[in-house]
Amino acid sequence: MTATAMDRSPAPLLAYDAKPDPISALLMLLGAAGAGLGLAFVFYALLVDGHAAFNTSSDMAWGSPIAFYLFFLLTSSGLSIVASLDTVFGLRVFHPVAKRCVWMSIVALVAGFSVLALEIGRPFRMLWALPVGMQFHSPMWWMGVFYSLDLALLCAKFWLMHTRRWHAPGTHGLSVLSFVISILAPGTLGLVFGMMAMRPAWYSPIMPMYFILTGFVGALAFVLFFTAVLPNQRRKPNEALFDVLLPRLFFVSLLAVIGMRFGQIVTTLWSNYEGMEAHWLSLDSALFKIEILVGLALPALLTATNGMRANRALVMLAGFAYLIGNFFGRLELLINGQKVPLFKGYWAGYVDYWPSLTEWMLVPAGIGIYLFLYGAGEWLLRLAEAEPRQGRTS
Amino acid sequence: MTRWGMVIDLEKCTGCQACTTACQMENARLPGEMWQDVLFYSEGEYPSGKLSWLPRPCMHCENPSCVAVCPTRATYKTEDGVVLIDWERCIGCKYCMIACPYGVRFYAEEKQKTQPDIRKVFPAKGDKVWDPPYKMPEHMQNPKWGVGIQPKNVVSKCTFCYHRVSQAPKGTVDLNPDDPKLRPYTPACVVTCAPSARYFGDLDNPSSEVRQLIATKRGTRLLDQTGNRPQVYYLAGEAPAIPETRSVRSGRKA
Amino acid sequence: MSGLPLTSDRRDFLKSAAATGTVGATVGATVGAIGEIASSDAAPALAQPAVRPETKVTKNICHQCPARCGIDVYTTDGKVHAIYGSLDDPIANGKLCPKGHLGAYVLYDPDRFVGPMKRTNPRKGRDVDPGWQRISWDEALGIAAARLNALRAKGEQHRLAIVAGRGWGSTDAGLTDNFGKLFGTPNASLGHSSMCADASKRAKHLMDGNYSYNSYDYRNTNYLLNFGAAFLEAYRPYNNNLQVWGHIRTKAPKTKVTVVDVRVTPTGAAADRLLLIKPGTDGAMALAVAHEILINGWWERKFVGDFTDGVNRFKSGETLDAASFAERWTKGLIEWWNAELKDRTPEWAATITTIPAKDIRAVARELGTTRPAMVIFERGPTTHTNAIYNGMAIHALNAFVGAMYAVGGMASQMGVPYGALPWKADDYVDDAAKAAADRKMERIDRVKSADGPLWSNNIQGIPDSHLSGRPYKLDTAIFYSTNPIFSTPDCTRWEKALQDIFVIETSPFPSETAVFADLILPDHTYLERWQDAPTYPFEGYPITSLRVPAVKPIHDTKHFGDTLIELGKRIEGRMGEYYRQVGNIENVLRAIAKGFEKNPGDNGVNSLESWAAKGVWYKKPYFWRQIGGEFFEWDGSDYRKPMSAEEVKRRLLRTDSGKFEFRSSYLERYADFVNAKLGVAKERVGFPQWLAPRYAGKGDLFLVTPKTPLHAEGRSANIPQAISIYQPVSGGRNEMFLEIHPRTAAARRIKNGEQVRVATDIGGITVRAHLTPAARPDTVVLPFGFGHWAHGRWAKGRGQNPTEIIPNISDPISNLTSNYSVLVTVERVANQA
Repeated sequence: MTATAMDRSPAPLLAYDAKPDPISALLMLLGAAGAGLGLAFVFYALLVDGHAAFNTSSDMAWGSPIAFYLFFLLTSSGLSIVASLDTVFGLRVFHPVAKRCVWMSIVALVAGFSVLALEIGRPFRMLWALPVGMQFHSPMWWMGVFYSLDLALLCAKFWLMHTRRWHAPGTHGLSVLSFVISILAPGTLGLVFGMMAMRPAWYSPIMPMYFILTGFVGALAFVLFFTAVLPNQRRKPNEALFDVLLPRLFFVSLLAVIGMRFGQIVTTLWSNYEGMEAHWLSLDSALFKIEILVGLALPALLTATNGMRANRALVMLAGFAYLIGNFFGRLELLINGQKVPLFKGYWAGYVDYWPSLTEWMLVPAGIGIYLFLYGAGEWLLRLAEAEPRQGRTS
Repeated sequence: MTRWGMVIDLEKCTGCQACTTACQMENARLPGEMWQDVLFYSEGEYPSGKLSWLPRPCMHCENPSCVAVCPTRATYKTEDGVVLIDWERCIGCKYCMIACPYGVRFYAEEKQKTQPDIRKVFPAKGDKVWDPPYKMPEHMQNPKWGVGIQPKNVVSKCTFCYHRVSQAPKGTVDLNPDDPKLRPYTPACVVTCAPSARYFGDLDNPSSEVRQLIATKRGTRLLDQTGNRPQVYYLAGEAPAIPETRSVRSGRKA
Repeated sequence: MSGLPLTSDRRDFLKSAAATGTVGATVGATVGAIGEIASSDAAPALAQPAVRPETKVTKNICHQCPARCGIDVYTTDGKVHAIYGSLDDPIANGKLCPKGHLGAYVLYDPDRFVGPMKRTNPRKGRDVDPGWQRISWDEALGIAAARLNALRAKGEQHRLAIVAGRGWGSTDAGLTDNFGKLFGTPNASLGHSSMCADASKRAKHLMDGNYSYNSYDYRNTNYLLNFGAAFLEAYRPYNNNLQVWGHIRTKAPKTKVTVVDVRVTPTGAAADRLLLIKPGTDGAMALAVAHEILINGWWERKFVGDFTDGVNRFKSGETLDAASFAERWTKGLIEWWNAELKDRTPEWAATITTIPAKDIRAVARELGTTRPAMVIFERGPTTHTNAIYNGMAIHALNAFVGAMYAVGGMASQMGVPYGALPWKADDYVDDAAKAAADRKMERIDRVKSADGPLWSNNIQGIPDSHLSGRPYKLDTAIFYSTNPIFSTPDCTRWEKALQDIFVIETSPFPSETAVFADLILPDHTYLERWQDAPTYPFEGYPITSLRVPAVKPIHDTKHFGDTLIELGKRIEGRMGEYYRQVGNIENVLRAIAKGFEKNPGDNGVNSLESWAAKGVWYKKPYFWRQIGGEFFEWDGSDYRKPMSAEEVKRRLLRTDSGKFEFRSSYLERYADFVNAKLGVAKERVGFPQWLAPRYAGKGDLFLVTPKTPLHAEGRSANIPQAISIYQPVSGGRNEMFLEIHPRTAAARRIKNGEQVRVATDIGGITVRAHLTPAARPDTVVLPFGFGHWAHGRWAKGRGQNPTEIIPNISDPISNLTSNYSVLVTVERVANQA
């Protein structure tokens, strides 16, 4: 019971008295550089050419910015789910990463929203038009609702953790709610695509599940990648988690993704349905090859045995490879849905699309924002902090 | 209540694209922003190759999927059955462009396919995309209907020439362009169609010409399986069949 | 592309109008200033609430093709924003073709010339900056007049040429004849009809005596056999053809249509049957159809006549006694049969045309057994060296089905009863002009020379004449509404020829001609100007339309007619006096509109003011009709006044015999010439017959260069709105493709979308290939229209111009350019990006 007092002891909200450790400093520096360069470039291009600076068109309405947005948002939800393994389901073994995951989830959301703000035509109008619109037929409207809630709940949850109120009244309830929203939000995002019967290459009730699962594996990859770069003393107490459980969970979940993706590929290639030929076309594309070889096969191979999974470098590489493949896979998914043009006639052919330089510059911009905020959190927000063991009544 | 609809007789249609240029002119659209496109399809091999075409306005669906997906209700259906975009509510998310099965929507903020970029030749001051000398007069423009020169970063589409149609005298059943009194209210594509392949009128009135044609000449709708229930009907007659496919694929791999 | 106003028909109309008493009451109208007409808001649309009072509707004539559709131009706050077909106009009927709506883009083309300019850089070339210097109109006209006066002083007036294209009516091209007469040059009216369709006119002339395009009664025909006329793309009047199509394809009975063409066209695709024929062999198919019609006894006996005993003796390969057949309105049938037709079986034609005999038989049966029926053709079959014989073979079928002057058939176009100009040019011919006339100089294009006794024009020959100095070299050339440096075969010859000619370009646009010009005297665009235009052959009854400016000229430009008049005023001698009398084109319009006082139109137009308000004067009906082998004239309420054979000869079948001649007496006058040029035996010269085309180029594939609907004869080269929708088939959006059959491509290792080199012996161009399984494997298609190296920012540098590689060969009889008698090589360009 003495721990309770310690537990409730006031902690500095920000660890501003400490100098940033080299890793955090590096992350922040890289982040600031990437965000600075990317944002400056994108802002300039938008100023000069507007959204014509993108290679998107009336035929390929959604391009790489949306893919990138998907990448961040789905990973964010995955991170929230990983945190919930502890905070909701009481799998205490995940406890050491819970707070970090919540922070990473918030940061990923912010990065994703930033990219969206640069992609969408009128982001400021969205702030009032979306709530006023109340178009509950639109999955995108619900997506807005859920992701707004998601961000709010994650922030509240993080605030409670940060102020060491893991067991304050309502904390568990809030965590449960946050978890539910973190399922609903990517699920709705899946519906944004999966409901579109007029885009057969997307149309699938499985899309929400696919989004949630791939986001979850992405979250594990994030955790593996970012904890691998942590200084040893922060990992040491939790070697079992970092070196055994997380890699195994990653591997097993990855197998689930591979199984699901294989099913998708077989189904879509088998179908003669108009619009599905996009999948055949994608077989030749670099995006598909990167998604399958780099994003699925390589990480599965790298983490195939217990021994390999104990090798921190291999695991880190596997996580990184998955994220790369995941990013390009999302782009491929977007293109496939729009590859076969809708009523554009004989001359249109299939819609060709490759991101413009401005679009590519969203990558350093988004990742920069993520790295900077993550690094800042690592430095200032005691991300490794765990709930005192004694705090929990058994 | 009036519910405007169109009938296009493919047996008469010559694929000339006057509807396309009339629409472009009336509504001052950008090059390539073809609210009223004519799509060509070529199939088969010499000496029996086939060329067919399909004029494609917005279908102004009864159950428009674009309206359902629009998160801000910027895209809406009017009481007289026309699907419009409120340019003062549109956030440019382009979900409607994804959700329209007929590919009728356009986003001006893209690289102009016909270079040099005409928007830079006739630049607009302020929030508009461009300012051509031949633009629609101010009094006809209405951003709430998506009519006129569009602001930047919004989606545009065929409005059934709502600035004309909406002014028609109450109770008008058929908008016949050959009647000098009704001509100013008739959509541009219907006015100019030289073979008179287009008919425009009230789908809710059982005695309207469009309803008669749909009944007697077997009017069909495009992609009826989507359930969108277009208010544009095609009469195929002995004309080449309506191309079912969105593109003609040449085998599995293009 | 059109010829000049049909003055001979006009005379006919005046006579017959007087004869039949169809002279309306004269309605006096207060004649106001011409400027007031421009601002009068007389259009009916104003009565409607949807068009606000601030919107002005003016009448104009579309300039996008020769059809002369009447248009309503909508102007608000001084800006043109819409153009629709005029309901008042019997050609447009309120409708337009796709080009009709492009007018405002032409008016506001940002690359237009803004005023007169002179060249400061003496060097000329494609990529040479002329160094334009803006000058005043006074200075510009002074420069031009000084050159012209100098020529007169030297007695070298023939070295002035005026090369004109689309210059209709009395106010434009109509002024050049007098200009030439008063100045003293035979070269004041050099037209471009020799790259348009002179051969079809000539072929018809040789058989029925009318050197003009036909008017057609499509709406009442039940069968249409179409040899290579792009009825739904480029055939005139395009807009009305489309209206006709909507009608004939849904009327009862539906008009059945067979199209014979060399590529898959919208016309062919919309028709009931499309036969893809080997280029240049249409005549062979027509002969076989004629053969089938005769042996099966399907010819129209009331027009052609019959065997004296009524028994059909036409049997393949068997000659007949001419006396056994009594011809009615035709001449030479049996001679033709014996000399040519008896052996022209479908099986024979199949070997020439690649069209299966069964298809030829089917077409013959349909054509022979359907009435009314007619056969149309234009440039397709006649853009070959065997143009005239192809055309004659096709036109002969119209006699077989009795289509001449019949319901559902074809006739001629009547002229307009314009008032006479009060100034007689003949009174102002001074000594200098007389001396020039006495010198009897040949035309620079050598029309009517020993080489071209039957030519009307030879625009494609002008550079050769100038470069060789035969007959002489030009000094000054004025170009109006034509751009031969881009559009004639082997067009780069002009770039050499124009080096040492003082070129005056009057186009409002920075054309290729302008790049080589020394002086720019820019015209208004059509929405800024006045102009009258008697109709292009349409339904026969006389029509004339009027352009009324919708807006004041937006730049410092001048009406071409006024430019010519102003130039005339500055010429020394009596010529200047004449033009001071004429004053300006307003006076010309007033004078011609006087004619309507005695002949008000069906729409009440009887003055310049009412003409401007309605935009058109017309008077129905067409005067003559053949009914069951008898000819009648309109008596005021019906075709009841019988015509004598003499009257028919004078008005309708204007051959030596007064008959439709299967053996052309007119052509036989030139038997030696035809024999020398085409190798046809002298005794066979007069018969429609199979003559193989002679191909230029050393390649193995036919090249055809058609016009697409959005370009055909239009003004769309620098209009991005049009460029973005160029279609169909070998068009493609934003780009022109070479249509090539996949097998043909595979043999050359060409993949879809790859760059290919298309070459003849005079050069090659690089274009993108579009594999088109529907195309003939021996024919490649590259539409004409792209490949400008000037003409504005959107036109320039877009694709390639096929006329650069088309050798300059022509049909020796009509001199129509043989653009399609070209064989090219096609090969893949190595090292594709």
